[in-house]
Amino acid sequence: MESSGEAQVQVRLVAKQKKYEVPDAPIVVPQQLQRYGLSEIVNHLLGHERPVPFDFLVGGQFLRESIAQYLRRQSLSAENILTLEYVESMLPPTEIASFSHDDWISSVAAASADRFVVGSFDGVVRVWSSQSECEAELRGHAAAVKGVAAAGDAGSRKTRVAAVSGSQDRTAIGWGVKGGKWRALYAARGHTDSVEAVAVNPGGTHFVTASADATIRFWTLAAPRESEDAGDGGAAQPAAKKRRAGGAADVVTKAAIGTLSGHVGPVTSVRFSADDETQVFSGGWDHTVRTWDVAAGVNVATSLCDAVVLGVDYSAHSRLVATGHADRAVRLWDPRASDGAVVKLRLTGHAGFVPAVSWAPGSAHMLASASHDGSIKVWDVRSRTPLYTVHAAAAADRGKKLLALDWHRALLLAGGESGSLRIHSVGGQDAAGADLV
Amino acid sequence: MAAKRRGGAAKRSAAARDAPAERDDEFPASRGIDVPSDPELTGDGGDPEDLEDGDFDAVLRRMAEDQGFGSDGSASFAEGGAEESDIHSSDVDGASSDEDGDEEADGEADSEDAEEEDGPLLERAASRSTDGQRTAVSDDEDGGDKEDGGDKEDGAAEGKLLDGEGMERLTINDFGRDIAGWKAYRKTLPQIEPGYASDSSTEEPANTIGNVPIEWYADYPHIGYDIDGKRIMRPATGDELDKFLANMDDPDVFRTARDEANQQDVKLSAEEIDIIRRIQGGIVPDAEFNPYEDTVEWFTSQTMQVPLSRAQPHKRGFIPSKWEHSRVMKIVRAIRQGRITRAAPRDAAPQYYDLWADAERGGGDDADVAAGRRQRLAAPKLALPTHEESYHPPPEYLPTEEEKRKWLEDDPDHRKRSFLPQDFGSLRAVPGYERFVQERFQRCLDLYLAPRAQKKTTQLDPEELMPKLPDPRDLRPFPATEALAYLGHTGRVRSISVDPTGLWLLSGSDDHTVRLWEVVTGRCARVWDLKETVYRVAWCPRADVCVFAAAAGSRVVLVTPPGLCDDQRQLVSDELVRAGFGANEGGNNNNNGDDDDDDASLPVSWDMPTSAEKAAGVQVSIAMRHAVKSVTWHRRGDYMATLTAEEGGGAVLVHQVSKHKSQRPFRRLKGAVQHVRFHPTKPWFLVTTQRYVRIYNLMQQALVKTLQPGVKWISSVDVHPQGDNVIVGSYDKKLSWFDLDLSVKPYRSIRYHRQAIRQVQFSRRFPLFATASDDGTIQVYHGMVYQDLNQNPLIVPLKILRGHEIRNSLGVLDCVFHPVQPWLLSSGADGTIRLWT
Repeated sequence: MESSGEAQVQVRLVAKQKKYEVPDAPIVVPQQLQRYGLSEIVNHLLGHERPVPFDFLVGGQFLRESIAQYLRRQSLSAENILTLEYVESMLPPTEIASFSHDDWISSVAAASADRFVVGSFDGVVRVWSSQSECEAELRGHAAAVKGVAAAGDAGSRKTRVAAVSGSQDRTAIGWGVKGGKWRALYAARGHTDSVEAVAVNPGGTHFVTASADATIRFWTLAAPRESEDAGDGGAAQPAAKKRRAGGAADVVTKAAIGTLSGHVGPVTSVRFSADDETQVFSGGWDHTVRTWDVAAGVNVATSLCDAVVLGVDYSAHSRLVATGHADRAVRLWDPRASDGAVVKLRLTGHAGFVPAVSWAPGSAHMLASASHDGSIKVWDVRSRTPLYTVHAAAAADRGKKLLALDWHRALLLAGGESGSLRIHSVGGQDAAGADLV
Repeated sequence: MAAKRRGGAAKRSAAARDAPAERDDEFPASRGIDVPSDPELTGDGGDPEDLEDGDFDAVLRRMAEDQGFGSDGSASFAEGGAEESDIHSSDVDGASSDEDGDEEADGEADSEDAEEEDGPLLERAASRSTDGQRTAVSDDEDGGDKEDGGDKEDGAAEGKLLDGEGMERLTINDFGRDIAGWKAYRKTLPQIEPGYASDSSTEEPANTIGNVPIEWYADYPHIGYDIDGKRIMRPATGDELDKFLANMDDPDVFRTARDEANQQDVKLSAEEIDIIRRIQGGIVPDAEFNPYEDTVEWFTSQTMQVPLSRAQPHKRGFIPSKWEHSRVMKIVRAIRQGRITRAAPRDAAPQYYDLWADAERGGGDDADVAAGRRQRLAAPKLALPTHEESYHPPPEYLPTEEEKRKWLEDDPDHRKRSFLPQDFGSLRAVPGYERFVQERFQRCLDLYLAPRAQKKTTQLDPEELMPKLPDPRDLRPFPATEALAYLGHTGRVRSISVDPTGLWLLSGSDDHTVRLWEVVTGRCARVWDLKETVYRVAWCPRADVCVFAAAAGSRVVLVTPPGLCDDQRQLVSDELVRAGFGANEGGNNNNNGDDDDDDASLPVSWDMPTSAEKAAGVQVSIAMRHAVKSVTWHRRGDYMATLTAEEGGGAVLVHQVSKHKSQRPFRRLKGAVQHVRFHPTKPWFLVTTQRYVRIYNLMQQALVKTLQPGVKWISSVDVHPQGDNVIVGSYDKKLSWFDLDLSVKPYRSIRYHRQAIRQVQFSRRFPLFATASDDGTIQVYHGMVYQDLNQNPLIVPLKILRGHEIRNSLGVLDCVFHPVQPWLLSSGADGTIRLWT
């Protein structure tokens, strides 16, 4: 073209999203272009007045260098036509709100876009609306709450279980709401050690709890009419109940309908499969990620790595399990693979334990991880480097450990040592799942 | 005819030598134009036939031949003969003198005689004469002879021969002193025609301006100067039209060339045009030159069958010179009599000492030098000048006033540099350098002191000397990075302990508190204030209970932290620690003096805690008389050993938790006990004094062995979980590894810490051990103990963990491995606990 001095390459620009398609003919671009330059070209071709930032995929990986560097690294010829797929790039998450708590936040779950359930180390489960109002402070646990899970919408009139929380007092409490009034419906007893994580199935009928006693228990979500026999040391139960001063003691007891044992150490995290209601993924101190069939109560698959698993999440879109580890890495697993190479990807970048990971709800590629180093990292599995690293807006919260993370629609919730629930808004079509339409 | 001629020549030369005066008389007579009347030639009796023919040309030709061939070869032969004769002794001399008399005889007979008498000398000449193949060089004896007296006349004959056509040409010699006659005669001689071969200078250019462009004279009326300095005027030239017309008229225009120097046209002759054509065609310019002449075999490869000259080599050539012999003998006699002595060797000592001469030779051994492997060591180079040495340095190199003052005040020996950077602006403003001589001298001193020979050292790779250790990367997992810090204590954290499940961490601190932490989040779950400095905390190792002991001040409390474990375990724990109250209810609660009278005086009381403490989970408080320094549990979790700060056997007590009984295992103990510990597999008990570790068998109540680490002050001891190895850390920075089966002396001593070692710990699960030190570091080692008893333990240093701050020269006070994971927890004087993963 006009500048013959610099090397050029023919590229074909491809978009999966219909509204961003450009003519299929290859165009010649300078090799020195990077993402920004290519994005400008696409915006120019589309005739956008307000430019939309695009990210470019080549060979299934994000282009994170100039085209020339990519060609050199891949030792590809500049003569060939390079196919670049472009997607609208995600905007950096922006912290839109911060809800302060008295104590450390141990777990976060978004029930809906404007209702968040937060478990805290002071044993209180708090329900926040998005207008920064604390809707309810649910007291019932005798010790720190370690895991919470939201179960569907809580807006209906009928009393139903809207959230489940697990605690170090070895119980999980189902919280019901009726007309905006929250109360403990039942206490799920049976674990002999701290309940570390709770997960509700997508259908809202069952939940599982992971405990430090190396078991996972499987429960129905509905409240029982009367106390069931938990079956664990019945003799000790009354004495312990009396001693416990709290609201959970006087609610009905719920017994597990199944126990999944197989882990040989504390189970730290558990998650239902979004596709298969009977499939549960869990990770624990024994360095394993296990797949369970809760209906049959068997351990379907076990994958081993060399670090403690602290957080687990599963994406129905990518069909991958993401785990956060004590070796500061995020690993991606293919639960269906049975051979040795089950770790698809190992994402490193955090400087501390990664206690929580969360897939983007609508995306097959995006996930977020929260770490003890106080940062949230947003990853795209097509790139080994994080897309964004988000630090706390408040200087006092910087570097404080993050312990909980949940990605709900366009909101990214995180909390930890600082006691503030950080709410980030995540932009971009990809995050909302539009690229899969 | 050849033999006859040779004999004649010899006779003639002999005659000439015998009578030189007669020759001199003869010579003027021969001077003249009448060549045939030369008596030398006419008197040669050897060639009567030639003279009879009267063929004068033939005579001249032969003369010319003799002259041409006998010029230098004969001289060299004669000299060679003289040299050989010098060597010979006096009897050869005598033989030659004998032969002098026979000189007139036949030449061939002479040579035969010489062959008989003096074989080696004449062998070569004889062999030549016998095979008859004389070369041109070897047979010119007579030619050389003739030179003695006949060169003048030969020259004259030659000069006359030059005159080709029989016309006589006189030379200046012929006129003697009659110069005028010679001049008159010269005018009659024909003018020399400067031909092509002539090198006469008649072709000097008329214009003498030399090789300068003629354009320089374009503005002048003259074009140069002739040899006399007169102007050469520019020849008149017409305009271009005249030139053209002239050229049209001139038939020779094609052979006209312009002589720029003389500004005139020159007509070239036919010969000159021919030469030009030849040059252009690349042919030799001379038309006469024949490049394809017949070869003249001047020096033929074929040996002539018949020699050119038949003259026999003169006898004198074979006989040593008598005169030289006498001269030599004179010298010989002088040497023998000592009149001639060898000159004393000149003193060759150099004026200076060449420092680098030795270096030039290599300085190595001679074999190397001989083999050409010189190891030259170049003289050290001067450092290159820097910016500050510039005459115009950049401003940042110029010293400030303060620096200048400091430089001037400093002692010259202590100055960092010997000069002050100065800015002169330009090079011509730089003054003379007054320190030049000093600097030269310093340089000489430097060179004098520099090493001049390369010292040969054996090539030793330090890596080879190191023991082969596996790569630490192959020994993973081990704690390598800091993962968490547990913050909250306000004093030194003296002791930490992890519960058997690995979920909870206990820490005891100088701030009188015991804190319970969640290991994986760093959350402080509970705080117990025990009102006194907590020296030691220890979880009960039983898996089915949840009990820990904490030594605070002079008491030990047993705590079951409420709400930490399930009800079943809580019940078992409570029963374990409180059962003793029921058992001892009937008797005295203060001690267990049931079975042993000596223990009646034991200053131990098992007390119920206060209600406030009870609410916090404290179940039993064991009060003692002295401060409790250490608490350690037996692996079964029922017995507990305490160490108090007192002398003698009362310092070490063993308590049975389930029965609330205490006993004193040692009535007497030598030295101050530092540390007590139960053996993990055997019924042994390790008591560590300041210098020794004594291992007692509690069942047999006997001393098993005494370990001697050879250190001054032991700080800590740990036993490998398999029980056969013990590590001992000491305040004098040394870590000792004992193999109990091997020896009571250390299997290995390691001194890597820079300060005292406070704690040593084995990992119960991984082949790791760690040492915590006052230098603020923790060092992690791989300590593999093999099942094969023949294989020695493998100890590999893996990692130095830095992070703890040093407060009041105290660094890391305690470290403990996580029971499940390959993690390490450490506590320090800075009040923090850190998790290393």
